[in-house]
Amino acid sequence: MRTFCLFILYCMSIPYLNAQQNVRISFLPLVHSKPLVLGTINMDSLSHDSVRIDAFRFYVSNIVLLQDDSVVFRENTSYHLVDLADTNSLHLRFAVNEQLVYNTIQFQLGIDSLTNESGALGGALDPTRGMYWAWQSGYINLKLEGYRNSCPTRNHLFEFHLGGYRYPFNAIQPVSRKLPMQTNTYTCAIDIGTFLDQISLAKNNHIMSPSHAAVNLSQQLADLFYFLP
Amino acid sequence: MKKYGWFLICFVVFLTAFRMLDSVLVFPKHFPKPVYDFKKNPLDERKIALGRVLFYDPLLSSDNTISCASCHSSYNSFAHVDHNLSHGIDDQIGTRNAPALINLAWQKTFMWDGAVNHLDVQALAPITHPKEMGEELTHVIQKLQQSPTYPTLFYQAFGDSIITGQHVLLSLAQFQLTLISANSKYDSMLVKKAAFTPQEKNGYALFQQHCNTCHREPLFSTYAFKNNGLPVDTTLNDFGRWNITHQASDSLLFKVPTLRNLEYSYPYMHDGRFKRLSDVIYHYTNGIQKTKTLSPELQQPIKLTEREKVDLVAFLLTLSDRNFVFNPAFAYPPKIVIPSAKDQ
Ligand code: HEC
Ligand code: HEC
Repeated sequence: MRTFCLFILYCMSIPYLNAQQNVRISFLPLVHSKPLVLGTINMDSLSHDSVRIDAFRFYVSNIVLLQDDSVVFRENTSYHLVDLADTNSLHLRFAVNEQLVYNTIQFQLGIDSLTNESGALGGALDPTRGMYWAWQSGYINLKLEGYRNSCPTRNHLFEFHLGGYRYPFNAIQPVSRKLPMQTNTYTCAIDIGTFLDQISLAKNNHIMSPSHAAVNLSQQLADLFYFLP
Repeated sequence: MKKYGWFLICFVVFLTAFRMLDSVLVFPKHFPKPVYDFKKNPLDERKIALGRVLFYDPLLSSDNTISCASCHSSYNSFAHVDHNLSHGIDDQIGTRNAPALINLAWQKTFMWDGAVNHLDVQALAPITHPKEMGEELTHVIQKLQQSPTYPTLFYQAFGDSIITGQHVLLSLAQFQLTLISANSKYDSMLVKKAAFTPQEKNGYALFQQHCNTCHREPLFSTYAFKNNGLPVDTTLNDFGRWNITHQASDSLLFKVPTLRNLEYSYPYMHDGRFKRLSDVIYHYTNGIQKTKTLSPELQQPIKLTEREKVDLVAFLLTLSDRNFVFNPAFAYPPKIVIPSAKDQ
């Protein structure tokens, strides 16, 4: 009987022992420092080049929080499809222990090889989400489609479907950032204007399958994520 | 007594679980363990039945004319009869021969070049291929959702009448996983229920000597990628595994196909270039083209007398499984459950 009472007491105290708080990460895509609005032209005053983004969507997976170098939190079934066309999807939320202390966040830009070989999956990973290659199995980690005046293609359009999970075209990219301050709401920005300035649209403007170029561009994009103070 | 009660309950649970798998996935003792992970997609009669209806439904194509079965007919061991290259919507011709769909639970990669890494996701390729079914999975799902019967079938199978891409794919995979062919004369011979004729016996010995390293018993394939010395068809320029990996060492390698049910699955090879088994044997004895990636097993010429060639073919025909080809559980499902069938 005594053990039973203790057990009940323990159960009642669980919610207090494990009080949760929500962490929110909001992605903020930019074009030359201005918020990216799909389908609208952005003039760059420096280069007098105009940019329009028609689609920007990417997978964020395996979110981990660290205190210095040790992992203190790992999100379960951590797969998020961030799609600029769906404002809701820009905000990722997950619950952590209220006592949790951390100063670093890590995530993967894309889908890992194990998941890529796991058959038909659901939710964010459902093949109807438009992020799966049909003719050759595998997830598209990131889609970026748009227009740039200086892009030497028909109608100045570029189209990047970046993915691939097999050596030597493994395109998934780790992103690891020190957080400015533990506040539980963070804004993670990425400037597509900077990306387009860095690459040569004359050389790469249309990537639709795993390749060295896909790996390189994925890496350049991953390097551009930064957390606002 | 209390103790035994628990034991009994566990035992009954265990028994029912076992029987369910048993009733749908039947394969003989001489087969190895399947590579498909059934824990992630446990077989269920309702899912299999739904997968079968989907497999035979032309609704999966953009103009509602082509079903999976159009190219994979049960009477041909689920290969494409008489077509060397596959034949899709608008009478378009593809670039490869449709392989027989048998014993897929033992296969790690799919397609002649291994482009597909899991049976579950294979169906995406034909559904979206412009020369096969030319559809979009999202549109297929809209059509299914609007049909009078599919939401109920999905509810029965998955407990959810909202149809998802995942559920379409998992049920198609379930039906295909049940396509097990293991009831040929060869299989009966192994369990001593049938005996080979002297001619078949001799053919079997020749097979083991020349073919078994790639077409390994009892599945009659290792499903590895090999170059078996076919000259390139310059109208197709298909480099097989190279298309996927872009590694020079993979040029002209194709997935070794099973040799079960050859009697029904003609024509042969990735481009269906051979109509008869005698053409295939002639290729192995006289037609091997030496290229950089030719498999070591075929470097030495295979020499067979005319008599031996006939014996080898006689053995290959012991791999025919009539019960499989005429199994009513695999054939066109009863009309009432095919929602979008026009006038079949
Ligand atoms: C237009 C003809 C056509 C249609 C329709 C078609 N297939 Fe196929 N199928 C093929 C061809 C051709 C291949 C070989 C493709 C390759 O190697 O690139 C193939 C390969 C396959 C394989 C791989 C077999 C192996 O051993 O690697 C499976 C499984 C399969 N098809 C299932 C299906 C399903 C399920 C459907 C319906 C959703 C379907 N097919 C519709 C022609 C077709
Ligand atoms: C080096 C491995 C290897 C050896 C040894 C080998 N094969 Fe093959 N076989 C293959 C490959 C690979 C293919 C598919 C080639 C293609 O379509 O490009 C194939 C295809 C076939 C096919 C066509 C099957 C179909 O469904 O289209 C037949 C029949 C066949 N082999 C019979 C034999 C016989 C008989 C022998 C022995 C004389 C033999 N093979 C030895 C690798 C091998």
